[in-house]
Amino acid sequence: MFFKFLWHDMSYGIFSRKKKFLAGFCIFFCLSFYHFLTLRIYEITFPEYFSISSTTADYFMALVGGCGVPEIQEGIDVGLTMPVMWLGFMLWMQFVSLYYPFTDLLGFGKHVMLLSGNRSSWWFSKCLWAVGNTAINYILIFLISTLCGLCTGGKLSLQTNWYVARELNMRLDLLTFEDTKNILPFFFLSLLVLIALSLLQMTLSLAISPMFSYFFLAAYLIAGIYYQNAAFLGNYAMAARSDIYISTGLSAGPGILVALWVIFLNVFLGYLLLGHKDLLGGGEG
Amino acid sequence: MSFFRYLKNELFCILHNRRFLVILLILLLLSVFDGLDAYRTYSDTLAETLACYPKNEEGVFLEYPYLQIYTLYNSWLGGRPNKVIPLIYFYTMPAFVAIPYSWSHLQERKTGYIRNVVTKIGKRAYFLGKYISAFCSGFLTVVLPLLFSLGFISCLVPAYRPNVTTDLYYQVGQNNMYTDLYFSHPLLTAFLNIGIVGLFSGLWATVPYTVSFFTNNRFVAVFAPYLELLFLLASAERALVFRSPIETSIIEYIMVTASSMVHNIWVFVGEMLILLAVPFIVVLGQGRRSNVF
Repeated sequence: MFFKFLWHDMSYGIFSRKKKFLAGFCIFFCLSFYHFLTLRIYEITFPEYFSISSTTADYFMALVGGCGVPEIQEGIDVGLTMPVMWLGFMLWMQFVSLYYPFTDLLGFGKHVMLLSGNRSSWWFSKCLWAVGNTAINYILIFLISTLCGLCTGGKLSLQTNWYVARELNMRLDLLTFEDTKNILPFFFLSLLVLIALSLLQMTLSLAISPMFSYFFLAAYLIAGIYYQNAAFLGNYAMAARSDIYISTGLSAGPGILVALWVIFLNVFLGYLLLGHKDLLGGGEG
Repeated sequence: MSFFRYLKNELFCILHNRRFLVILLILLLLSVFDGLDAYRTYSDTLAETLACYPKNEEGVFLEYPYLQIYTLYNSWLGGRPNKVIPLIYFYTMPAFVAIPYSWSHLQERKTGYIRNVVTKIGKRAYFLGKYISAFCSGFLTVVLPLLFSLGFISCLVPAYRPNVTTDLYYQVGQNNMYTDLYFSHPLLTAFLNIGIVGLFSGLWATVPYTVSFFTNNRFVAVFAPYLELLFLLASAERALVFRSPIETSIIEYIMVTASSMVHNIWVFVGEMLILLAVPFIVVLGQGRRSNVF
């Protein structure tokens, strides 16, 4: 039963959503291209940029790197630049996993659960779907930024250059590396955080409604931009706030633990919530 | 049924809508938390000033105490510079103004309710009525918590006139379009800002309504315009970095504080006019063409 559910979710919830992939491609190709434009203007402002060969990893970092922490002067927070690009990326990733479980719950999923009398298979299948859907969309965005980098003359590499830190409003004197740094550790940490957030959204959707859960998640992510704190998972999905790249950043180790904890907690809580949900009562979202 | 009766009925539905009331409650709670945080900052500064600044026997300060660094005008929700709750409020605004009502057209199309109404008042009146109601829903959702915040903070923090020598605490820089008015008539600026924010949110609430003509998915109708806005903001920000000092983000324009870029009132007026004209034209055009039966 579980594998039938999973097969259905994978085919209808991921592979048949071509419009979503197309929209994602257009949006993130354009957004990646802005790194090329930024680089050209940096070359005029700082001549040392001419000697740096940009890599495809730079494009990815510029897209999803986030921003440094706000500066505080005389008790007043100044210099907070809202990382709209990062916020758009995070909210897109949440949006692509927002409505499929809910529409399934109101339609096909409800009938199947009632006929089979098996709610746990439906829920665990949706959890695996959320993991798969998030991973596929994330990898797709990575490939789009890589493609954009290659099209605009970037070198194919997983090493990011130091200059991207300037684009992400990071303090250059606090960087943990001199020239280049591998992006793979951040790539996997960010993916884990996105999976945790998408499961949190699914559980919240069951508890309240998908629309409110999305609103709460947006508020939670924005609060995370303001506070560099482990309680706000979004911080771990920002390269500009990670100790991999900046000495004052959050440690990746606790980030992995927090994300795993959120994942298991939400799988369990969602299972309990679904067990008590009135399936015939409907819902308006 | 006349057009005005239909409009009255829709406004009644908005005000008695569970989603509207829940969003309003959340925003009012945010206003209260933000207000209490602002009051704590003000009272801590006051206590520190009273303890540290020298006074004569009559209790008069011997040095200028700069008490106006925390005033009503930089403590209410719309005037607090770079604080977390105002940031959440303004940056999630395009999402939450759409939740209460903007997708109701989609729901009425699915349930068939639209046919009953169109039979009685006609297509043009129905779509125009929906447009006006969506605007009112967005306007009320945002303006009521801001008015509440201004009233609530005015009970807690004195309304000292902002002083240009301590402008770091207000974050209303010389490039800001509100600067002159803010330092000369701060209360008027606060009300003007509430009006502008309300106008933006009302106009924004009509965008998901417009999108609902092209999709059957309510989540796409409500949140796709928000994502599109973030995409446009990020695009303008990245494409113009170091090329133009002019602020392009409409969210930064409607906030009194924070932006370090140069405000150009014509950019803002242009963006608002686009926000007014495009949904209005699309609604009237689609409304005329759509076959509701």
